[in-house]
Amino acid sequence: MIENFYSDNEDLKFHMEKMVDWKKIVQLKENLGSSDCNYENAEEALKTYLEMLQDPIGEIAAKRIAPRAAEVDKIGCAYENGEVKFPDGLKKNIQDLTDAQLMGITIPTRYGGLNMPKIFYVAATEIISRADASLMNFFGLQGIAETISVFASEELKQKYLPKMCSGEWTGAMALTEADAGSDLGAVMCKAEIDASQNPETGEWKIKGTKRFITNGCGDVILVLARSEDPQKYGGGRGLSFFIVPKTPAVKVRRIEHKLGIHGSPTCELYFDNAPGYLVGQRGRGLAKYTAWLMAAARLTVAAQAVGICQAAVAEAVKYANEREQFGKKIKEFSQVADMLIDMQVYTEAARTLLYVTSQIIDLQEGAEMRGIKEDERKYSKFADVLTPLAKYYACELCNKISSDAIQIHGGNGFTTEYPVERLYRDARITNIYEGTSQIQVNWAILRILKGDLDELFKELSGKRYAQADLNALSDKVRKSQEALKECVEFVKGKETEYRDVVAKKVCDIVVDLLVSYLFLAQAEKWDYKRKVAKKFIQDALPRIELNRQYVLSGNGLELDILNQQDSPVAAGSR
Amino acid sequence: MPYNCAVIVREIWDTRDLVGTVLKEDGGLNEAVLTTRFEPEDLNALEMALQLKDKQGGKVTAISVGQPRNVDVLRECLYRDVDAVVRVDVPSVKDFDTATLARMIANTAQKAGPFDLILAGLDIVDGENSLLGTHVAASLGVDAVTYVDALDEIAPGRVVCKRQIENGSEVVETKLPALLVVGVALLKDDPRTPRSAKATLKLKHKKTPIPVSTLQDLGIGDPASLKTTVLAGYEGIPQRVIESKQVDPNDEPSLKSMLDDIRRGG
Repeated sequence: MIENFYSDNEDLKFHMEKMVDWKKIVQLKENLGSSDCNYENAEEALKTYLEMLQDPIGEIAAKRIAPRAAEVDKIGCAYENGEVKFPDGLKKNIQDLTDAQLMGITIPTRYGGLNMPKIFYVAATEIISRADASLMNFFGLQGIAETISVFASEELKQKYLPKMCSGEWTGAMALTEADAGSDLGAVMCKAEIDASQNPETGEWKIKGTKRFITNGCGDVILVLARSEDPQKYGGGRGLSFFIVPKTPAVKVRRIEHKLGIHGSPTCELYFDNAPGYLVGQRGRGLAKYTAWLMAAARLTVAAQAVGICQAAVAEAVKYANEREQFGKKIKEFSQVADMLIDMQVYTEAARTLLYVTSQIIDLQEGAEMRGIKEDERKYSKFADVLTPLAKYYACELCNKISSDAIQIHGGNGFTTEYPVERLYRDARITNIYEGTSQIQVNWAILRILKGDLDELFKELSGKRYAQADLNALSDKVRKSQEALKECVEFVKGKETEYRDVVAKKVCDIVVDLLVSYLFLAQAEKWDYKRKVAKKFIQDALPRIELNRQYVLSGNGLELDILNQQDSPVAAGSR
Repeated sequence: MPYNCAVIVREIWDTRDLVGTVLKEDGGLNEAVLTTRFEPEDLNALEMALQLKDKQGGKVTAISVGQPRNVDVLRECLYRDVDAVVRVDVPSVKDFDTATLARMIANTAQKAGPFDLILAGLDIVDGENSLLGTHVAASLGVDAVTYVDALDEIAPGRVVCKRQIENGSEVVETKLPALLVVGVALLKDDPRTPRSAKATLKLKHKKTPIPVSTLQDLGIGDPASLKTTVLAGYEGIPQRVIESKQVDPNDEPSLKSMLDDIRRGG
């Protein structure tokens, strides 16, 4: 049995110990030296963070959660008489997280939380997800408490946060409806308030149905509902955000039967005039609060994806070391070794983007808190592009890597005897929920075309190294960066439809360039990463060229293939 | 009704995943390449005490001897919500035999107590002899039960526990105060599986001063006088070299010869 999911993960440790600018983050986050701060200086804070990742987080993940994952997946959640039943393993997992006091990681200490930076929470989420990806949907719901902490009134914070931090109450976010999935502006669920009540503090009545609600059976639900007259404020402008506590008026109608993440109940909810309380301002439910919550959730799902990648790589390497064919270990066959190398390098690539993004979000939130306008503007611009990119990249990769892990296992991987099939099933939701990959690309491309990453690229490409080989690689990447400029200029001059067709390719170029530069920066601090950087850049440069040619081709969609009445593609739907 | 417990906790060599040479040429330990960990059996004993506290109330006090090397076991105890800790302030446990250590612990317990129960893990550091607990019991003049797997019942003046014996277990009752040597947790979901640290306690106790007792505080003048054994000689363990052999599975004579080798202990 692996003893600890933090201390056995050299790459994660490297990021935490060597790559994160903790000093800056801690100075923004904490009032160092004051009586309400847990630390005297940044070093002490960092030491505490790292110790905490090891124990309780890495410890619980490896020794308690991971051994229960197969059973939780096999039994799954059930629905009986309006109630959701959890498998025993899940109950124990939640109890363990609660006992270790890990349910309010980023929430200020005055509400019972730990006031830790986002990047710490992301690392914890990666570790927990590696042990059981479905448990992320409880652990990762801390974003709900965080949303309350950032936007709700002091009264609501006092009422809800302490019990959410202690684990006594779990949360859910109810945004999606049957006809409002990616298009949340179409939400129909209604919120009404009696004219005698103060809308800011009074009791609203929520009525309507929500679908695909993770942990909808939880105690505190954040609901996106239509509070304004649709004639006056249509679409997203008519939506507000509400805290709806669990009452008999919140009914779980059914739970979904899903391909994976069986340890996470996905509920259909009916709000039958359920009492709700306004969070923040009316009419800003979608544009501000949902956007904020979704950005947080995207980062968490990216962490979940990296956790799955790590689990898949670990299983594949273990199997390839043990399994012998033709008288030798299968990892000694070049094709298998090639797959294993790719799995490892791309897990590291996804992790790199994840933690750089997390760090930038910490710097942005810190600057906002301290009123450092210039930094806030800069980092928030970066974060708005990097968050969807990190989610898109990690989630697509975790599908590929978990699939490759099955391939390494051969027929055994296709059976339930080995954990890789579970990882593969669990991976499949990551590039769907909290915004599909396509939605992430849509978000990112607009900002890439606006030049929101230019400053970051300038910083990264301008970096010079003490070692000649790193400079040589950096020069190659810089040359390749011309492709991005060309593509951006070309796409800007085209119509929206064309932009949408090539958006993914442009995003791929951006990610390849970013990760190449970031790996080079890592190579400066860890010799092993020189090899990783070299391998990644070797892969990335021809990929960038391929994508460049595709983008610059000017070829749009061959829609005729889809639309032609007698085409074989359309045959199934006739 | 609340019961107060003392738990003996130790830092031991971490012998998991050893790579490279850990023995010196003379067979002694190459301490420079080793790290340490919290004695896992002591974590079981600690868990038993904490579960009793969760259920019945009372205080848990952790006692350790010597200075921390890589892991401060007493601080780890604070992170798991013990109420008090005491370190016996001697440079190193290596200088003392089991009887001497037991006297130090017993005197500490007497000073910090009274306790209803004193718990120790099965000892793997005294050459698998598991004697520290029983020595402490003897020093204190209380009853000892070894290989305890579970506390079945506790009531004023008495405790009933289940202990492992060969081919099964037996239930024994003894009077309080008593010393229990807690067995090895083997099952994944053994109710005794030790808990992890608590996050807020980690924040709270990261710099809490650890109280110390000197030998003088414990009324021990010359620890050498407590020694019951004298090291008369030392012979290191020769490094075992096991050579692997490849046997053709289709060749019957080689298979038979392999079986013969195994029978001979080759």
